[in-house]
Amino acid sequence: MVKKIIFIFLLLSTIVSIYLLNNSINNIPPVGKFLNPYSGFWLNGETDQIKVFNKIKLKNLDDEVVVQYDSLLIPHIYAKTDKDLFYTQGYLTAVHRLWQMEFQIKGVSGELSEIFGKRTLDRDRSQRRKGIVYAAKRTLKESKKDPKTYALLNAYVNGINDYIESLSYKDYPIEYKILDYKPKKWTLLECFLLMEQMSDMLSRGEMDIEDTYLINAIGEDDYNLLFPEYDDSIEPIIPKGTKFNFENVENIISKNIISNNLKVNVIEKPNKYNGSNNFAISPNKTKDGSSYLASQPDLALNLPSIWYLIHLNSPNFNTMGASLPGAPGIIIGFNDNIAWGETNAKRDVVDWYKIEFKDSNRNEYKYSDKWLKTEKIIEKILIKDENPFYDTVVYTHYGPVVYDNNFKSNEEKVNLAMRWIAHDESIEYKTFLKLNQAKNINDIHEALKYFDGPAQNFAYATNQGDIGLTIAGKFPIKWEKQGKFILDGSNPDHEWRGRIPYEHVLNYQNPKNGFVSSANQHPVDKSYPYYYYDYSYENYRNRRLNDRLESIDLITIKDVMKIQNDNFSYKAFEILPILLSNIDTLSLDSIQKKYLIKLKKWDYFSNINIESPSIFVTWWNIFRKELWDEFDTLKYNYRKPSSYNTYMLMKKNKEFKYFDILKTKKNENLSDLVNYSYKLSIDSLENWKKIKGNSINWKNYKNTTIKHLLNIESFSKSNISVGGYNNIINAASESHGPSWRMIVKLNKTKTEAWGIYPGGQSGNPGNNNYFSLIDDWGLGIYKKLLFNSNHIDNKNNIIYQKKYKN
Amino acid sequence: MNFLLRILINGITAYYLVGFLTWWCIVIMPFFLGCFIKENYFTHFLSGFIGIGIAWIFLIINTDISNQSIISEKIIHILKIENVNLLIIYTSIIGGLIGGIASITGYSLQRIFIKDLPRKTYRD
Repeated sequence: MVKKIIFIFLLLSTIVSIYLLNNSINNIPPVGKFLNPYSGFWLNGETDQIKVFNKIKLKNLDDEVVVQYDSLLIPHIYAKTDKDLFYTQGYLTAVHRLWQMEFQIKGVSGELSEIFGKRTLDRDRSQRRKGIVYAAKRTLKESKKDPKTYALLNAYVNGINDYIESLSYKDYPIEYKILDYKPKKWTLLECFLLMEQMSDMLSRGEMDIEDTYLINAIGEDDYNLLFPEYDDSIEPIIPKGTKFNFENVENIISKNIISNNLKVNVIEKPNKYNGSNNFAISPNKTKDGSSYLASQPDLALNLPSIWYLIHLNSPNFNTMGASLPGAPGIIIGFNDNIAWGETNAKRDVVDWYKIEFKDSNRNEYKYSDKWLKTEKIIEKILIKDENPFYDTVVYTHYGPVVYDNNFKSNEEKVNLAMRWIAHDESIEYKTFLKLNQAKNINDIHEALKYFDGPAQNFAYATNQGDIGLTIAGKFPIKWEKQGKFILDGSNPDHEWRGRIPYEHVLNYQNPKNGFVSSANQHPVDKSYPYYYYDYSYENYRNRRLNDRLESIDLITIKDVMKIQNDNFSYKAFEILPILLSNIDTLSLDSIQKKYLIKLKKWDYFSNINIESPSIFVTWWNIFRKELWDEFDTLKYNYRKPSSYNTYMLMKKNKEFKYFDILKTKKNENLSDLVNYSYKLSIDSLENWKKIKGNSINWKNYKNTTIKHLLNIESFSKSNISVGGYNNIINAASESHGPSWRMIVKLNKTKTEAWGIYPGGQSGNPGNNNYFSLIDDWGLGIYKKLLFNSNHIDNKNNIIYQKKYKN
Repeated sequence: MNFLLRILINGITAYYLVGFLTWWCIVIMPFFLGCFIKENYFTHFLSGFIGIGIAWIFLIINTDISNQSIISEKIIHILKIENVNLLIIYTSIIGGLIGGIASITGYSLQRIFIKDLPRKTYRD
């Protein structure tokens, strides 16, 4: 008997310990599964790329495909059919980026709680409530109407799935092992969700709710003064004075509701520094007589990088550039004949409608003198180790009611429905696949017709010598100020009235000055017949960019590289002289004087090895904080005036009621505020030095960091040697910046391109390629991209080649 | 059976064969030896522990050297372990413990079916 008990006891301990070691407990990876030498994390080290490539098995091909990898690990795919081409693109992208592809989708569709448990539930709920999956499903339905695009999208998805099927636990990307979950099969819906993610990041910026609250809190006069829509000093994308020979097709005029009891805590907003710059230069302005295109999208800097470089070749395609892992085709790139790049075209394409339900069942809501029916969608959110959470989202004809008595508006029980252009079905992939094949400017225009959003400023150049810029996207026609504040859901006059027709969309070609450019500034001056609005148009990078382009007569590729890496701070150039002229030198101690001398000598270039940018940035932040301290008394979400408008107000006024510092008894003027904030900032800098034990040179102080998507420190890289900052062309800030720098030169004989991005092709932190391009990116060193229409011509520049056939 | 031989058998199976199965199949050989080899709990535990532990050390060092510790250097940061060598040792101890327990589990099963050796008999 005793023996039996011993045996059972030991058997149970064996089983229990295996169980414990094989399962994740309290978010700690399953120890045995994770550490064991047969399939654990040790196998995720990759220092021999050839071994990685040898595992590639393309199973479902119609014909022969040649795959080559160059030394940057960029795949070059030479296929005989388009279907094989996109199948291979899907497969090879997954080889390097599978985890990231899937994780992004989980993030955007609100499925993170499946992996992280309850702590991401709120985030998941807001993703669902924004109607992202609903929108992707609508687009999926629409996509079937275009069988050609549909077939290529499907081939791409099949490629991803064939790769996933070839994996067992030991091959899983490291993040799956850490978080202990498995890759799921892809569907076409995921590709459309990815586009929704781009919209979520780029076209969802707005301040309608905040501003409705603000205008009530500070009054209409102050609001208009502090947050002007337009200023005569701006330099729009479409040159000032451009004449338009058409009129607005709609002419309804109405008014926003500015009710004062809309107190909600708003959901997380996209980063307002999601920006970019692009420009094209015509052959008569370049030294070698070629057309140039440069594109530099500024986004959150993460690892694995948002971009994946790839070269696609088939009888119909020969295109290369940056792709989005999870999306077929090239998003920013070039082919034999043309090159194109996008910057975000900011425009208020999200509006909020106050909804009045008939009763608490929320089955009907008021519209004019009728009651309309709602539709309810129950969102099931799976939560790791817990029961699923069910969230009922009510849909109106505008869109989902994001804020209601269940979510973020508990105080006033207000119901706000969201109308967002990204809710509409659209077929952006068609645009990219057409652009990838475009041969001339007409093809480009034809491709951009299908582009709805997120609206982008497309700059392009062709080897025929044409250049141009089109602000493509679906823009609702609005009456003056429509949707700047919350709208009335029961008033039909508050509806959006169709879209601005494609023929009336802003665009211009081959201007006399020889270049087109954009950097997220105002699109156009007030002569455009349609009302447009955004709360955060850029007003620095665009002016610097145009100054540079105008000042150089015959531009070379070197000049273009220099422009993309330009660290000149237009902001400091304008603001600092005002600040300095108000400083009372006599009241400063020796340390304060020492810093002041540095600032006075500064040439406004935010380079890494000097201290002045750190001093200016700190000073300006503290100055703004103290200047707009009146806002700190507000209880709900609000915004503060922009740097640019702060500067305009300082320039015009010495005395201004907001200059007063609330916590002192005195009534301060500009000069008081300048001196006060200067001393505070020097204290802050000295303190920083003491704590960090480091000098405040710009590199250390800014500490540009590229974070892994899971924020794991050893998978991230910090303190990168890169200059620049927000509002500077080289927009590398703490965690944001140029996510891809591309320059293309086009002429009749050939297309040449250079590029660099902060990351590596392999998304595996255990691959020695993972961080490989970051240092060069920071220093502004470019890689020449290998681009030949025949794979034989690559043979001296590749590290791997294989022919696949079924 | 010779203690060293058992270590060797456990080690060799863990090194060459378990890789084709799931990791916890390391228990099979120690358990099997435990079932059939007449020894005591102590040496059974040790043969399982040392056999699997050593095999794991070699397996891991092999992989880790071939990829220049590129991933283990990053993982020790997450696990807050000082250096890779320690992680290798910890991992092997885990493997060894499982091997050891499996081995004595096998032995305890054996003991159920085998009568205790008769003590001295005084018949005639």
